[in-house]
Amino acid sequence: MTGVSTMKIELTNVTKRYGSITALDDCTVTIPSGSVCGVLGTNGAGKTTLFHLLVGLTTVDDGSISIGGRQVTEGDVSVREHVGYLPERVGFPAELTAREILRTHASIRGIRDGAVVDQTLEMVELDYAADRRVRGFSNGMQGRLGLATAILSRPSVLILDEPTAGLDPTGVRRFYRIVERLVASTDATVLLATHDLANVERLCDRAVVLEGGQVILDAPVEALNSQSAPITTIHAIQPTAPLAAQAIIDELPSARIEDATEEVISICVQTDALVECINLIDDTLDPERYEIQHQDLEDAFVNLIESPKGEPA
Amino acid sequence: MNEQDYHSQSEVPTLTQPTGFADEHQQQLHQQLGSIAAVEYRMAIRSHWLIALTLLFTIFGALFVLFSGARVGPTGIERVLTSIANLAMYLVPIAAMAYGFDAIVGRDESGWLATLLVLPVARWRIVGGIYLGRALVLSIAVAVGFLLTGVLVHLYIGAMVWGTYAWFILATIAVALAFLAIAVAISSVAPTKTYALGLVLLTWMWFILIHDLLALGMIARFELTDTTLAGFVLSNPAGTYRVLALEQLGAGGVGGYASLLTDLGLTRQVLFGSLFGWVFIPLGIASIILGRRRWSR
Repeated sequence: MTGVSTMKIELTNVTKRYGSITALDDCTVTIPSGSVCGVLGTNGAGKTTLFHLLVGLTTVDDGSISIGGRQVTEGDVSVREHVGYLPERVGFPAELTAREILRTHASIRGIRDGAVVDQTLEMVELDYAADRRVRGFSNGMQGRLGLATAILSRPSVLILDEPTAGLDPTGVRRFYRIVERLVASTDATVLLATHDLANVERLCDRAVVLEGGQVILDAPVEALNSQSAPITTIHAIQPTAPLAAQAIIDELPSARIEDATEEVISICVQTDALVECINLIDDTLDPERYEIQHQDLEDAFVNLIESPKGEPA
Repeated sequence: MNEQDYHSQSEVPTLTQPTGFADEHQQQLHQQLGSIAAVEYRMAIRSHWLIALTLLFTIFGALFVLFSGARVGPTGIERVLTSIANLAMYLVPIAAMAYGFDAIVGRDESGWLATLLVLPVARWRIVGGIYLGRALVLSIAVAVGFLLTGVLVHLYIGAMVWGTYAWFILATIAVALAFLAIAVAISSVAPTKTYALGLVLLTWMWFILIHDLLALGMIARFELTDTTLAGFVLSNPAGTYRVLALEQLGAGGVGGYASLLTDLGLTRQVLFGSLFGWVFIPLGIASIILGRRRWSR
C-alpha cells in the first residue's frame, strides 16, 4: 500500500449536547483501521453529530476522540488532511464546472499534481461532464462530485454521510458501484451512514448502530446478522397442522410458532436448529411444500432498534 | 480504475509529516485564501454581479452629472463632486451590503460552505477568502463606475481635478469594503438569507439615516468635546467616508455635521485607518461566529 496510512478510530465515553438535547451519550466505539463500517441508526440517532466530531467541526463535551492515535479537537484542521468527508447534503457553486470545483479543493488541500483531478473525475464517472457547469447536474452527478471532493486527497479515513439520500434507484446503484470499487482498491477506513442496509451488508465488514445517541451495537456485520433467525414457513394440507406444529415445538424448544392456521403454519427457528426442524416437519407433517425465509439485515436492524436497550430480539 | 488510481497521488500528507515552516505556511495561506477568493470572483463574473454593480454606479453617477443642472446653475466642479460624494454615501453602502449579505449564510444554504468546512483550512481563511473575492469585484465596480462618472464630469463640466478625484474613488472603495465586511459579519450570524437581508437593511438605515440624526441632535443639545465628536464620526463608516470624501474634494463647508469636524484632528490617515478598522473588526467577528455556528448538515 502506497501513500495511504490506515487509521484506527477510537471514541471513548463521548458525550455531545446541544443545549438540553443530548446528541451522543457516553459513546465508546473502536473502528479498526482499514475496516468498512456501516453507521446505522434512525433519523436523529446521532450519526451526523458523530461525523462532525470526527472532523473537528464541533467538540465533545465529555470523552475523547482519536484518529490514528491523534486526538481530534475542534479547530485543529490538521486531522482533516487525512479525512475525506462527504456531508449529507452537499452543494456547489452553480456557475462553476466540476473540474474547477475539484481544482479549488485540490488547491486548498495543497495538491499540486494536476492529474489527480482528472483521475478523480474518472473514478466517479464524471470525466465526460468535467467542463460542464454544476447548474445542469442531476442529483446523482452532484452526489458523485461530492464523492470526488471527499476522495481527492486519497484520505486514510473516508466518511460518507447518507450519500444516496434523494437519489433515484439507478443513481443509488451507480453510486454504490463506485464506492464498492473504491473500497476494493484502498485500505482506508471507511464510515458509511445509510439507511440502505442491503448495501451495508454488501460493502461493510462492521456495523455501529446508534439509537437515541447511544451505541447499541459495535461489532462485525455478521454479529448483527446473527441476531436474526431464519423463519421456516410450512404450507401443509392437513387440517391438523396446528396440532402438528405444537408437536414440533415440544420436540424443539428453541423454535416458536409465528402463525398457525388450518393449512399453513410458520415456525421461527434459530439457524443452528434449522436442519433438525426441517426433519421434524418432514416426519410429522409430510407437507405439500415449505419455504425457508431468511431474515435480512433490515429485519435484524429493526428488531435491534425496537428491542429494549438494543438487546437481540 | 484499479488500486493504482486511488493511490497514484504522491503528495498525500501523513500525520508525521513536519509542517510549520514559515515560507510553506505563507504559501499555504496565500493558496487557500486565493482559491476561495477565486471561486467568489468567478461566481460574480458568471452571475453578472460585476457588470450589474458597475452599471449601477455608472448610471447613477451619470444621472447626477447630466441632470443635476450643474451646467446652468451657479455652481462649480466642487458642488458637482460633492453631489456625487453624497450620492456615493447612500448608494455604495447599500450596494455593498446587498452584494455581501449572503456571503456566509447563502453558501451555507447552498451546501458549499459544508464542503469547505471539512477541508483542512481554518475558518478565518474561509471568511477571508470569501471576503477577498467579493472585495475585488466590488472594488472593480466602484473604480470603473466612478471613473466613468468622472469622465462624464470632465466632458460635460470640465476642469476636472483628476488627482483629487482619484482620492475620492479610493475613499469610496474603502467605504464599500467596510460595508461589505459588515454584511459578511451579519451573514455569519443570520440563520437564513431572508433574515440576513432584513438585518443588512436595518444596519444600512442605522448608519446612513439614524446615526447622523442622533449625532446632530447630540451636537445641538449638548456641549460635546472634540474627542466625542471625533468618536461619533469614526463610529460610523459612512460618516467617516463623508468627512474623508468631502475633505478630498475640498468641500468641507457642506455636508451636514461634517462641516463642524474640520478641526478635530481627523487626518486622512486616521480616517482611512478607521475604515480599515471597519473592515477587519467585522471580519474578525465573522470568523469567530463562523467557528461557533451550529451546522444544519
